[in-house]
Amino acid sequence: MKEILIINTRRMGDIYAMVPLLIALKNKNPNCKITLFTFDETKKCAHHLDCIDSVATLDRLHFLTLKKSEIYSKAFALDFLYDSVGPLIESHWDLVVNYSNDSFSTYLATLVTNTNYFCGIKYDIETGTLTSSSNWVSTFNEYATTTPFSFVHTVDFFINDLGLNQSLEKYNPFRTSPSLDKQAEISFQKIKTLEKETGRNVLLVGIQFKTSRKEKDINYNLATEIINEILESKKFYPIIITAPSEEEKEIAKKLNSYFNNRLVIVECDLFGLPSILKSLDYLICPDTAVKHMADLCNLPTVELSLGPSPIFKQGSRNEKSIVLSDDVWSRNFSSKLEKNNPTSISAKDVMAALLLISTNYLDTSVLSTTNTNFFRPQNTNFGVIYKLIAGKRESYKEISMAVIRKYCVETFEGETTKLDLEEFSSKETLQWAKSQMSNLALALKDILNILRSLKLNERGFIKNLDDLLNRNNEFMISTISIALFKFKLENMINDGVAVNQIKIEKELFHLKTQIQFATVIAKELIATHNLSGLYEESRNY
Amino acid sequence: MINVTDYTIKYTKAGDPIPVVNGVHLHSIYNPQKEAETYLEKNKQIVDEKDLLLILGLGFGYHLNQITNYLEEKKLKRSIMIIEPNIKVFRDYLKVINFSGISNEDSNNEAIKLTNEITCYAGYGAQSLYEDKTFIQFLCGKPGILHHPVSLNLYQEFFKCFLKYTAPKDIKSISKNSKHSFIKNGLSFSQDNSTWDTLKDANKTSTRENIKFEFLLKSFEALN
Repeated sequence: MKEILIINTRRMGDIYAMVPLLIALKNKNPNCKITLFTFDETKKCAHHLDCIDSVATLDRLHFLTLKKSEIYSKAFALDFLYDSVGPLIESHWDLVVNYSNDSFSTYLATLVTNTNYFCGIKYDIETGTLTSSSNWVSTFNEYATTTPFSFVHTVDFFINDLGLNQSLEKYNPFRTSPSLDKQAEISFQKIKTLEKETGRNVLLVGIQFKTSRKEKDINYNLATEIINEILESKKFYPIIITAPSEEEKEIAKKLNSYFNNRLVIVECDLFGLPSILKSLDYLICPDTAVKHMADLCNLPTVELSLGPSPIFKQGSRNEKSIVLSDDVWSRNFSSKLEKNNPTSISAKDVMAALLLISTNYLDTSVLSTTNTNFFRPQNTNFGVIYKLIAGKRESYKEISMAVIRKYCVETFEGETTKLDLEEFSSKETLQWAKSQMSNLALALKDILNILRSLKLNERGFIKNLDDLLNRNNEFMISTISIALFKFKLENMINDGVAVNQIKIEKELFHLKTQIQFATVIAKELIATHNLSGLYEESRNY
Repeated sequence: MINVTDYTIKYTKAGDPIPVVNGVHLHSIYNPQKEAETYLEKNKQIVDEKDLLLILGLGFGYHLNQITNYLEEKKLKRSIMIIEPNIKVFRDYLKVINFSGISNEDSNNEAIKLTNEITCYAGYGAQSLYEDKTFIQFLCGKPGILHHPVSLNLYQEFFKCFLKYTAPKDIKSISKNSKHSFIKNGLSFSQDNSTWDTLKDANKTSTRENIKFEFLLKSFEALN
């Protein structure tokens, strides 16, 4: 039986967001045993996932008490740490995945040496240099973690690294209580029956509004407006979903009072939630663990991506869902937002999205005038991407994301992919291509300068290197190859000046090839869109 | 770390035994029960709110008795740990309550489970207490602290040491307290006079086991 260790020490939402990887692993190796290593505070969400066979944990808070207090010998914290991670280090694994990709998990992954295969980032235990299992993971580490934007969903970097199939088989991975399932089904059916008696065939829409961070919450005013829109629609029926916390109970009470106690409020914990979600027709929520659970239950969701929520990295994956965002390209993703930074997403936007996912009806009165971005998740062979279907366009950046994705698939997988840029005008594509060609030419020039200064031992080597790295930005097609080059440079083993010079030169030539390949893509784009004439014409001005 | 020059047991009119150490009565010679009631009243909030209670000073346990009766009456479950610096007083206490468990009369200190919920550490020095894993586990639960004022005053030096204790940072002490051979071996590569703070800079032989230990240390530092 294959023994697989997944290291994920992030938050609850990240545990659920990772499940498509586990499903893909189980699909490929039905008899494999998956052990998740995580912190104590998130273990409860792992316990009700049937694709996780075993959970190993570290009580981080207890560890920190032992580590930080001056009264405890450091031995206790060391022992406590080793009590948790020692069994992982001493066991044999067929595959270890460093999913969380932070410092702690990377050091831990380094220690688990008794493994046949590894996915992620770790240190080479002999040389102390950082290594990566593939270009996908290096790109995730060097590119996706440094920008709020990503060209595929986070979990897809790992699925691609392992060469797994993007599993379109939807099965509910939760262990639920049959009696709770039945109870939810009966209760919600009762609501539908009662409404039917008044002449309304309603669809039940769960609404969840609270997150662990205020900046990501659907605020009270917007929540009341959304509920109002739903009640007035006569086609939908709102079900308020709250966690069993005092804060959420208070908000629900306040909401219900506002609506003259007409609302149906369901209070449930993590274990009960899948039973509720399975019986709903739709869900409206911010970026929370509930959203990820809804994805796993195949429940179409209108997700409000607010505050620092990383829309392209961790948005809803369901192709029937819609993700709403303020103008995503100028949005502030900082975790330290100023107090008065309200969203412009309106209740009408939410209703338009709900209508779209339930009936495919495009409410043009809203969609043609809104500033809110409406994104639809789309499954591709190499991951989930987000297509803009309404709201403000930023053609240059959108084209960049699409082309960067093509570049990665073609260079990492050797597979030719079709570029779908039909939603952009020829003029937009031409402008994009011109800018990219210009940047690629500068990058090539930088590389040649670096090579010359390296050969001649000139002082300009560092400056030329800086020029290349600083010219790079997340929307340039050259960004991935330069990021991978930087990763290799920073983690080069020090074998002495002469040997290292040869190694750097080799990497520079490789980078030059990659930039040239990127140039080919840009040129092909021009050719495919029959823009050569236009391009030549514009060059002559 | 306690200086006992004189120890005797006196009795109240009602026949309750009262330990007298260095001329100090550890409980009221007139009415120790009443005194204990007053003690409980003063500390009720902590007893009500905290699941774990650390009591500094036992004497003959009149205040402990009051607390346990209160907890039973209110049907509250608590885990209680007591520190009694004076092993002789403690042994006499065990006789007073007709303790039927095992006690090692030859030992200078003892950790005795009086009941499933109550453990007493008697005769321990501050460092020994802070090196006891059960005691550490208990402290990590952030117990409410109740002190027996007379004991605190009588054994001032001991309790001062206990309350202001900082763990030694030399590698030898750290290694002594670890139970894992992986960690002991890793630490053994440090120089003799190394401390925790200088561990990273100490000269080490780079064996595979030691490199692994270095990464364990890195993961230790990275976890915040």
